[in-house]
Amino acid sequence: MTGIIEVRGVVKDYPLGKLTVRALHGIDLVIERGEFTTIAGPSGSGKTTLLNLIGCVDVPTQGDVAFDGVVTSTLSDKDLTRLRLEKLGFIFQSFNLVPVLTVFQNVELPLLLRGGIDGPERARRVEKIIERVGLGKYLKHRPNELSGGQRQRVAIARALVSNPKLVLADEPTANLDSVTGASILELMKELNQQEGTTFVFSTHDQAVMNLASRIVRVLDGRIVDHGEKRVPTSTSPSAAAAAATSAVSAATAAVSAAAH
Amino acid sequence: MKDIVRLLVHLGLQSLRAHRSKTLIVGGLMAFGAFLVTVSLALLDSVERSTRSTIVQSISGDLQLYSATAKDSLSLFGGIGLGSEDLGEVESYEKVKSAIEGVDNVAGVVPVGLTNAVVGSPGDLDRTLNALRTAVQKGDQGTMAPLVERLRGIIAVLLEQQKKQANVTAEKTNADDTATILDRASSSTLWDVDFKADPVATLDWLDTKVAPLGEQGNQFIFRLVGTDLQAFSSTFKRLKVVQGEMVPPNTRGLLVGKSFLDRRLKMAVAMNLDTVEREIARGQTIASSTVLQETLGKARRASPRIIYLLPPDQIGPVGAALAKELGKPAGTALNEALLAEFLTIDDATFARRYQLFYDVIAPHIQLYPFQVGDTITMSAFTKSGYLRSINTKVYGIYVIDGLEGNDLAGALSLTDLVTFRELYGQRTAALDAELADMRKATGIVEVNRDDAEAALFGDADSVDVKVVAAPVVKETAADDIAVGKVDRKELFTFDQTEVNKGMVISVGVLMKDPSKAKETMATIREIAKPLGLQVADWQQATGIIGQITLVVRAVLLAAIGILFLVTIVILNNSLVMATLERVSEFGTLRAIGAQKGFVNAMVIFETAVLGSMAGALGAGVGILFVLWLRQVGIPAPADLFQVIFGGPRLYPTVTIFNVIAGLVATMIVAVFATLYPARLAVAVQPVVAMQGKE
Repeated sequence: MTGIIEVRGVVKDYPLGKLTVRALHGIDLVIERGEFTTIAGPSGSGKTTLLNLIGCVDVPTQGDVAFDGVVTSTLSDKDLTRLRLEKLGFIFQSFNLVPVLTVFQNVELPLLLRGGIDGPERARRVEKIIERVGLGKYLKHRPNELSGGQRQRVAIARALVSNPKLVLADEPTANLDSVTGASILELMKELNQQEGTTFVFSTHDQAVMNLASRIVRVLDGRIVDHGEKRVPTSTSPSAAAAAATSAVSAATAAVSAAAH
Repeated sequence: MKDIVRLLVHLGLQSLRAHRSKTLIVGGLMAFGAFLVTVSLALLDSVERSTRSTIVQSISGDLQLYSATAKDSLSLFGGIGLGSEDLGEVESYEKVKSAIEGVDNVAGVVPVGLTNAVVGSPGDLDRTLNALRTAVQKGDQGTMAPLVERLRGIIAVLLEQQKKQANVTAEKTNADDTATILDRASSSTLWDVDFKADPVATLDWLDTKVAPLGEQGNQFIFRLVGTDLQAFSSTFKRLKVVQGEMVPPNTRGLLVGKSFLDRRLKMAVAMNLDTVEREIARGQTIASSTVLQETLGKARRASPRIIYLLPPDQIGPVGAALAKELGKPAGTALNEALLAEFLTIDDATFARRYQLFYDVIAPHIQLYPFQVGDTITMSAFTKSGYLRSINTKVYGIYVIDGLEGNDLAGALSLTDLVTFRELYGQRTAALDAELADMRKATGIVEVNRDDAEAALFGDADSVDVKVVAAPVVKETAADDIAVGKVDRKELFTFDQTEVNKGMVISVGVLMKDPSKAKETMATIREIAKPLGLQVADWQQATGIIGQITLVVRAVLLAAIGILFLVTIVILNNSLVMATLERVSEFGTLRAIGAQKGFVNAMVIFETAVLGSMAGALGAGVGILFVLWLRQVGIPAPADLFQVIFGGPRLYPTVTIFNVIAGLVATMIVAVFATLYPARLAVAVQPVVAMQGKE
């Protein structure tokens, strides 16, 4: 079985003034379905560039990125956009919610853009996923009425509402305190295990790496460690055990408490 | 799709709320634009409607049909030159009338003959001399005495003026001659001895020696419209005869415009005082206006005439009244100095002096060169080059209802077609017969103008010429009729039906419904073509006046256009700023799967939502503003504006089309201003979402 993402010999150049900066120097990487993979590396290492290519928001200068068997560089902007809409979910470092929409409307947005789903069905799915991330009480709230952790939960709900094959998370915990970050990670891990959604992170947060099923290390535009499948080393066994039983409710409670 | 639209509207509205200051600036500008378009279009339409109602419904009709071969274009109020226009002829009015009368939407058809005529008004000296000669011939001692008094008065004024001139002139001999003549003319020897002994010889001497020294008398140019006056007045209902009467059917006669009479023909002192009075009523002051000071100067310079225009028995009382007003001793005589002082007026004294002039002086002098009921002599160069003079009775004075005080509204004098044709040069059977009689009587040989030179100076043997070139054919004078040379009835009356079969210069057409003007004009054009006629709409037919509205419209639309361009630039700028602020939002939307089209629609929708709300607000305020103007009226700042305002004030109306135009214009501006920012928004790469910092 091929991976959901196959990166072969990818080079990516950026123009910088009159110069051309090479961000990636020939990358090969395969990500299998169901992975909970972290791409780690210092700032400027090229990890975000790699994530952009995997997330189909950018195409490589050389080499191919194949998403679910489709080579992205052969697609038009329109088809690429449609691919993102249908098969990908995004979680951003700064949450990037639409400020003028409510929690419900933000989560509903991908379904509306996709079309073909009637109102009641849409509402059912939106409410279900919001419930799932523990924000059932905040349907009508605006992003600026929520805490950072709650906003990131909304972003997670938005990323997952259309049942994507792959969720990309760019430093999802960078703007959160460690407790909140941990609960967000717990949530994503749970979704990964229960729904089988593939997650790819870029991060330099040790907590994220600890939960990852694989850690790919990038340095100076090259992969220095492809990372083997591993058993996640949770922060503490007791916490992991507790999380296994009621991670979501606990995390929600913690975040709610933090918000009030 | 419905959900997407709802989302777009929602996003639009919410974004507008979120970016309040931008919304206020952009919305304010667009509301102002909508307001401006609505109001200015409403005003333009109102102006056009009222101009139409003043000009079209009072004189020109909606259309004028005239010869397709005309060298000049028809201009009812006259061109720049005098009598030089070549408008061709419409052979038979009746034929054109019957052809277009049946056309739908035609309310009335009138014949129009156009020509310029000169009306001479003899100088005071000439007039008095003539009257005195008549009195002498009749031996009427009663009228002679006051006429002599008046004549001596005029000569006294001339003498006084001559003395002043002598001081500044270099031509001493000439001045001395004049002084000698005037000295004799004012001497009591002449009047008490010579005149009594041989009045006719004395009058001859006065005629030859003194009369040339008097003022020349005035010539007024009348713009004459010859028409079927009955049809004219029933078609153009705003025409009102305010003094005298309408020219009776089948009768020759003249109607003169009141404003023409008041502002061109009136006695100079009164006319200039009237002007000052009007301007003061409009808010001017003598102190601040050099024009008014000059106008009063003209009144002063014309004032010596008052002395001899007054009947001798009134000179005393008038002098006393003026002396009292000026605080002079009771016995002060009425002379030039007293009048000049009386007419040295400032803002404080104007109202009283003006009143005094009309109470004390005006009732005793003739303010106009002729009066209703008078017969005046109009002269014109006919097409064949003859100078033709015709005596016509002034039946009445007319005004255009609602435009009583306007220059243009009375600029045309109306007469019958027969009189027009004679002045224009159209021959009638009666005239031909009369000319033939005269030729027989005098032995005149008709000489073509081209051959006149040869006839005069060339081959002596060829023609027997006694009188040549352009003889002045005087219209039948009263004594001719008395002698029975011509049939009086035939000269002063005619058969309108017969007359209507003849030639005119153009044919005026008034429509029932001006909104269908284009269609009606097209229909009439089709009918006119085979008749050899062209069709001018009223704007063309009235020359500069009709075009004013077109010019005003063009200027206003250009101004609105420029304002909109500026608005587009400002809007564009402000929207670009707003777009740049939202790059991360657009990037996120693109990243999570929104197509470029969605982002484009989002930006345009946002401005469109704002545009429609601001437009509605602006247009709404515009409607209220026009309704308010309708209540108070916009005062006409100048005479010309009275014509385009349809009276002293414009009462504008606003139509649904004005409002729609305002809204549409705003939407167009909104969309145009959004094109570039929308392109920017669309160009935002989804990858920027990944770099977004909060």
